[in-house]
Amino acid sequence: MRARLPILLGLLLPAPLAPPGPAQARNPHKVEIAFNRFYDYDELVGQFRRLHEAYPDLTRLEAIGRSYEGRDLWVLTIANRRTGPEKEKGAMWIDGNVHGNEVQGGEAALYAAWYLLDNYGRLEKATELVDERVFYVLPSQNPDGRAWWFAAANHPHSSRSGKRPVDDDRDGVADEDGPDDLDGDGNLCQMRKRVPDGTHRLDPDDPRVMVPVEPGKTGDWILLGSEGIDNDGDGKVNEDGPGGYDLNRNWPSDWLPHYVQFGAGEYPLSHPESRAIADFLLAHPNVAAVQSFHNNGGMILRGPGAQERGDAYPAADQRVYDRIGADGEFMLPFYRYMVIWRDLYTVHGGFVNWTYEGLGIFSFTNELWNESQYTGGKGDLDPKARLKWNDLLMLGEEFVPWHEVDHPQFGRIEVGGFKKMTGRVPPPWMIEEMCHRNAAFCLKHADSMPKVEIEAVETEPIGEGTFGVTAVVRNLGLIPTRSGRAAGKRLGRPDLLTIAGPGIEVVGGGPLPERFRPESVSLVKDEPARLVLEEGVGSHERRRFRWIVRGRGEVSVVYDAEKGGVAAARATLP
Amino acid sequence: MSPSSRPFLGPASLLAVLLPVACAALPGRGPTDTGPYRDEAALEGALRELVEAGRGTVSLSSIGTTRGGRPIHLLEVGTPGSAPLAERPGILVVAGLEGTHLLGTEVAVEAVRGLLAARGKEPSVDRLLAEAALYVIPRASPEAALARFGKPLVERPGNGLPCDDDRDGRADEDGPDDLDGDGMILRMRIEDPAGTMVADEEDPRILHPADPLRGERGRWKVEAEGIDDDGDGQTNEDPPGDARPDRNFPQGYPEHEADAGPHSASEPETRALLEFCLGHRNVAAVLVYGRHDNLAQPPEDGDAAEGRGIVTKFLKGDLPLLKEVAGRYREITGSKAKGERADAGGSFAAWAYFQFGAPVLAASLWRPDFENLPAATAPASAPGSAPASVPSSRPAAKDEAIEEERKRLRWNDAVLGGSGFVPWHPVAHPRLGTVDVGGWRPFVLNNPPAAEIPGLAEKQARFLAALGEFLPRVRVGQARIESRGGDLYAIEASVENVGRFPTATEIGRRTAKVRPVRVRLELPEGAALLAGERQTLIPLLQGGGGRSELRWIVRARSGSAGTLEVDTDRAGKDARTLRFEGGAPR
Repeated sequence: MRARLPILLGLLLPAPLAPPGPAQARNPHKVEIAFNRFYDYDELVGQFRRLHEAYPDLTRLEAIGRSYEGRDLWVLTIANRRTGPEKEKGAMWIDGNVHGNEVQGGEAALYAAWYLLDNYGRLEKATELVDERVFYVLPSQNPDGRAWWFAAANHPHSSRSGKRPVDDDRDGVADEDGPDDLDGDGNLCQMRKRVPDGTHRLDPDDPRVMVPVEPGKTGDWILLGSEGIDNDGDGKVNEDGPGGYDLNRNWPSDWLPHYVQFGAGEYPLSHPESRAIADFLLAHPNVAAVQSFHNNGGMILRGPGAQERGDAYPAADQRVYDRIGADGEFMLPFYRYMVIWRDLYTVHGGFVNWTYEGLGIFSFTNELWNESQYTGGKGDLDPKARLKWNDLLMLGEEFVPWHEVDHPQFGRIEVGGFKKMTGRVPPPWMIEEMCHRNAAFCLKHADSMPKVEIEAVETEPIGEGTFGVTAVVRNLGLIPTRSGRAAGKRLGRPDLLTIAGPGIEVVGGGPLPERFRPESVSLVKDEPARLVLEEGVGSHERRRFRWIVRGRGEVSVVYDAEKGGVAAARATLP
Repeated sequence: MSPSSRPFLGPASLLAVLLPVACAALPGRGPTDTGPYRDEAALEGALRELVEAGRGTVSLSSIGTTRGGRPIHLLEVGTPGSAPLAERPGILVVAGLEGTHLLGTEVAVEAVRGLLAARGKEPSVDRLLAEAALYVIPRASPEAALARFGKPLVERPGNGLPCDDDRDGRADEDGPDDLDGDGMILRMRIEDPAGTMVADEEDPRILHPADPLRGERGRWKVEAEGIDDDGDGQTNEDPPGDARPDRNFPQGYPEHEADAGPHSASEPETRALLEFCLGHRNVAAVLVYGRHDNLAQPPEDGDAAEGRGIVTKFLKGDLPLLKEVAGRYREITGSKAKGERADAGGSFAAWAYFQFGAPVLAASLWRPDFENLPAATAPASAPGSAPASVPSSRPAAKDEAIEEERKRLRWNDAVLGGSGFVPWHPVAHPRLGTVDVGGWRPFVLNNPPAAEIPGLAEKQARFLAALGEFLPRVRVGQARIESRGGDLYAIEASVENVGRFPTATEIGRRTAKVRPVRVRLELPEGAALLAGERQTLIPLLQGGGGRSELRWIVRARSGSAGTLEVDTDRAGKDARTLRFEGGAPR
């Protein structure tokens, strides 16, 4: 006799708030957010607050820690409490802006949260994701760097660090000689000076462009670096600016000190931001997917960050990465799926390296925005083309024309060049597309997270009052319940499969490797009623387990995966 | 007479200072008493006594707290006066990082007491206290030390962070049990056909793996004393978990090893020490009492300073310094106590050298003295030691580990009167029938009998005073001001290091952890610097008078004065007033 009584726990049954309606554009949205502009940190948090206030049943907004300068690190949790406890659902972590100047990650994270909530009850997939999964969204890993980038004169590459003072030039004083906005126009541009024995000349077609002269020739200009003066009188200009570290080199896996890995910080998680995030992730073992938005270049990056960590990525995990990465390349024109050390550069102690290598979570870093998007992939982007774009599409907004300024050390000089909101971030009218494509990639990644179900509990009498009970456990996700990394390094809790019933005694049991040979059950030594499964259930895998049970009555089988949820089923022994 | 051969206060007088304390802490003998080793309250009491005795020279604070809320104590020792402690070259003494090494704590505390007692009598001690900063963290891992004072007595090196050792999804559910009620967790041997151990032929108390090629067949299974608390068929497979702060530092961190913590720098004790060091850039030498050693056995070979990756071997340039100090250490202490290598991955000692860039001196302080046993002590044939089932043809000393264990037992019999090793004795086990329980009493192999502590501490106090003489110290050397007519002056000055250590170790320069020597010229109001740098950073001044010369030309009013300042992380600071005089209006 065979009983097939698969029953999902009621908790896991999707219970959308409203039935999915026809998929069509509609106005107004419940929360209208302009995605044709950037938001400073307070504005960005304000948008998250609006989302939380509009969707109080589906969201939670909490400060998980404080930045060096005392800004709260806000995380928006998106989860439907009515469809089961948060910790029993696979979760996706989304963050952005670990580098203060790489701001658009914050908007992309905001968009992902907004899009999910806006389409809840409207699009079937969005509804399913909110009901059956959890999202933790941190708009900025580096609120101080973001706030500074917006508030102060900066250039596209400045304010990458946080604001904790670092004595970059080792003179015993920290942050005493940063850049200065000489003309007070709110921009940090380049400095140039006309000299008789220069290294550059002006491009004859566009005098805004500086061209280096050939060896042996003499130009009439020299470049003097970023706008600034010698604030501390040590003879050097801008040699010790704000901060001076890299929050994305401060994570415990493959962490190496500053003299090997620039910006590493004094020790792993030495910064309040990284520590707060690490504490949150360690306390949320249900996180099964990580996306960390950076800029720029158009990349879908995964570890390892260093060649010598290659062994840390088992082949089965690499195949999972490759599948998601391939979808990413399809969804994100001009983006490439890349391995950090091989295709970009070596990173020790990076965030996604720790989340995968230290926590066993499949993790990507997307580098948002690729310069080819300026021209849609047509044409070179030499400085003249960039200026032409600026003139024709931005009506000149992006470039500060060279103009004369008096400098305390260099005398009469000229200052000019591109403003901070260029180059690494898209122009305003291209932000929304960038956000949408990257958010959609996140949702694809989230949809790949493991989700276990017990497909069947089959029972058969094998003697007087004795039964063989076989459970078929299936992982609906592309991502295994336990990554090869987690299983190999024993990270997190192993999965547990238990069988229980008031009138039964479990004589023996274990995994059943060969479905047609019930005697092939691989008996465990101890506690057969509670199977400990270090390997979990693989990518889209079905696994069978079998017990020899004496007794009768109701039997319940529960599969409990940290990252793949909890599934239960029942059967009755006659 | 060289300073090194001069008696230091006289052992008798120092012993007189130390002994009453050690004896006062001896509450009688018994298998589970705390012996001379101080528990939490007694340690705090002793530290407060030192503050009292220091009369302004000693202050007590804490560098952090454990998960259990226990403070990690810090003593700051230095005579008030010349400069704030933070501006003097510092010596950091760290003890009690591992719960098995209680001795370090006792020696650290008593060494400070010895130094205080030697004030006014021993010039090197006065110099140390007046010119250096001595930081002492006597028990860096207070949670770990608790095991020494709990019941049953069991060795536990780490801080007790729960850990799922057997990977069954539960933490700490099956630890050892005191089967015979003697208040200690020993070893348990079970006669078992699947056993792999046999008794040693010479000393049957020793069990070693059977060697099938010698015709040996295993007779015993050996485990920690205990039962299968969770009924999973395994005994003691998930004892109270552990994270060892001394395996948790981010240099060569043993990633994903069960006792190393969930990730590097995860433990509060680790972070407290890291933050202390990073906040005390004046620490110019680190002395660690624990399981590591590079003093009895200084490192023989090192790496060149070139290269780009992480340094994992002592740098060649630092070896002479380490060897010299180690030589002095052996001269003073006579210690031969070996330990694990001081560059062991994840250890504080390794971090302090390889990343903090300080000369690191690690001392395990003591080991049983096998060589000088009292005569005529035959190995005791202990009761309860059954003869091996199969005669062994294993020759003496064939296996180093066995020979070492034989020596330890000889020492136990001769010096401890056999009290350190509990003979195997039958005990009824709830699941396994009759088993034998026996083995080394917890802590006995790393922590000496009470009587040895004062002598060890006295030597360490002397060594600390000697170490003070090595510290780097910068000075403004000569400073000549020459009038060049009118209001022009030429300044020629030198800065020098009058200590023995360089201002920065080679590793300190490689890691850029030690700031260069900074020289600043401060000119009076209205003066102008015409040539020369207002600020100069000098990467290194060697010890023994290593110097750097600097020149300036300034325009200054006759009769005015400027200042030449030199300051460092680890070699103190100095300043000189420069008077511009004798210039005549042109």
